[in-house]
Amino acid sequence: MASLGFKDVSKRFHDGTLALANVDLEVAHGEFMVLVGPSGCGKTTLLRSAAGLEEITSGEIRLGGRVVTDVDPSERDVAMVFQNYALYPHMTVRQNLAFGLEQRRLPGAEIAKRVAATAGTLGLERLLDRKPAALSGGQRQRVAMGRAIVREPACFLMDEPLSNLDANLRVQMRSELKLLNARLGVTTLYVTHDQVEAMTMGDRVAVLSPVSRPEDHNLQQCAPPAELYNSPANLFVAGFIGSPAMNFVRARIERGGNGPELLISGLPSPLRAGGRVAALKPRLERWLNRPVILGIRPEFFSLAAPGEGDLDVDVVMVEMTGADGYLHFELPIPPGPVETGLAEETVPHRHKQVTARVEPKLLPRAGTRAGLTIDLARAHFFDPDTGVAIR
Amino acid sequence: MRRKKLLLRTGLIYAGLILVLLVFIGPILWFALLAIRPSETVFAIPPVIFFTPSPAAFQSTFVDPGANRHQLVNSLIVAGGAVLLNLPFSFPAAYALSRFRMRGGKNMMLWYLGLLMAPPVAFLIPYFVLVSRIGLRGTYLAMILIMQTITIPFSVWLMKSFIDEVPVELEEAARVDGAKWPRVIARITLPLVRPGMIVTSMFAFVFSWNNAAFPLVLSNQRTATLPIGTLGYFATAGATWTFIGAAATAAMLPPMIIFLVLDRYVARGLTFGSLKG
Repeated sequence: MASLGFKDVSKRFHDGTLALANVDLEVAHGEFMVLVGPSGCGKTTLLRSAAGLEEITSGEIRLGGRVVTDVDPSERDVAMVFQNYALYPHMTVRQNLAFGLEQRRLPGAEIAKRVAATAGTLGLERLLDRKPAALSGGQRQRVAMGRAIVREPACFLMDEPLSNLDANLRVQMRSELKLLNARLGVTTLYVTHDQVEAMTMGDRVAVLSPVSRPEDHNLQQCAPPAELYNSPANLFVAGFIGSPAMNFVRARIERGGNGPELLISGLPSPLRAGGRVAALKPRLERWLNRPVILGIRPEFFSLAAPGEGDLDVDVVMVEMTGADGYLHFELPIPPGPVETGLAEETVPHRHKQVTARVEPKLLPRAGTRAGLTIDLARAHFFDPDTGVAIR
Repeated sequence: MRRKKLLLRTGLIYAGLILVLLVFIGPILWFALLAIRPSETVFAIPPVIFFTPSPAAFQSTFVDPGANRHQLVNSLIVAGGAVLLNLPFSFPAAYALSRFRMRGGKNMMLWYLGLLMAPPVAFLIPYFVLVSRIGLRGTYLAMILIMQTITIPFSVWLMKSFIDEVPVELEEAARVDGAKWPRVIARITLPLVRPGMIVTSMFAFVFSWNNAAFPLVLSNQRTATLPIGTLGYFATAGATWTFIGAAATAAMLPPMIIFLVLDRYVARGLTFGSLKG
């Protein structure tokens, strides 16, 4: 067991694609760190660099204090679980589990003992003499985990290990994996594109974004899940974490007759919320009369009678998931381009469609008019030029 | 009514298939029958269909005096040698072309393809001169070496497609598991491409076995292979058709047997992709 550190890691592929730029990340001893981000954000490349399967262009990788940047994968003492499991198809489960131990020239008795113990932990005893082709998806996944565990490595590297499972099994394996990690306490770097997986499993979650220039940074924020959700560092993290995604609208705080007023672009009048805007004053002092981006999570809205909330909207569409009801309305987009620093796909419909979560029992019908109140104390404000959160 | 139509259709399909089959099997069958029919009926018109089969031609070609027996052994030596020499060279080449990015890798594959497409006859004289200069004319080694100019390009193409099918993650997993390159190849890659190696060797054997052009200029009386022996019967006073039939039939047998025995590897080789699951 050991800590895993990336220092100023950059990686450019032979074809010129820049995958990683200036990644600084420290996975503490025994920590479960999740790398999450949209496709192309370099999360898998970073993981493979840790395994030694990808050479980095510059920077340093440390494992337990030892610099392993140029160390062959076979000598790094890490174990990796691949997305497609990569079980050796010509070997039985037993041979798959034993392979890594044989490479380390452990005595046969010790290998047998460890294989048996791991098989016991994962419930693989009865499958030991089967070949991977004769296993179900979930069983293969378990063997892949077993092959990592049996080695007792310094660090686990997992590349979307649950993405090939069906939804039910994925949820089940998610909790099993977390329990297992808690029990073994091995430093783990876990890649996923699924934010639910990231939020539920990680001690800390590192959000990565794609990079295009060498001076960019993949790492947007690395924090415990709650912090990531409650105080995203920038628009990218705010838009990526949370489902449905956070709504972003352009806004402006102006000094009105009765104190500061919040003007949401596309709405004819300021929000009827003078007092609550005033409460935000210390945070937004410097932003008076300047454009900001207001980030409102769907759950920051609550339903009110028309004319009694902060704003009245025309309900375009409603969705009912059972536990939650979602109400969609539209805000007209003001003329002129809006640079949010976000990829188009991470903020669907940019400023056009806004989603509010409401009590399903109170869900209004599409086509009606509804009043909404915004919990401004929890709302997020971002610098429209840099995308950085205003705190 | 519908049943009748169906019957007619099936009948037509079978008639078509039999016709196609005749085109392919006909000559082979004719040659095989040539070997066992009396020589005076060979070109008889109308063709003699019923005759008393006799092993006389096989008897004189392979037993007494058995001029072709020695050539059969020569063919086995040359084709066997070509097979043994083939994989140690074509597997590493195919592996490198499959796994590593290299300058001109694609061109190399095209060059191999070019070697395969060029008529071997075009190379006969240069090879003859080359082999004579280095003093190998008439040796088995000369034939085995020159056969590689056909078998290696073909084998590299075939082996590469098999290696391409082995997910690179398996090798990566083995490396992370602590295995170094030679061991990764020995324990992971080689076992997984074994069907491919068998199929490749099979084709290398058949290509070398059937090749008549190279032995024609590179062999001598002592090392001549079976195709050369068969051709020899055209030279003496008129063609001895029954002997030609016997020698040619014997020459056809080993490739046929190999394909029949190893058929399942060819099939497995073609469905190799299903391994990923």
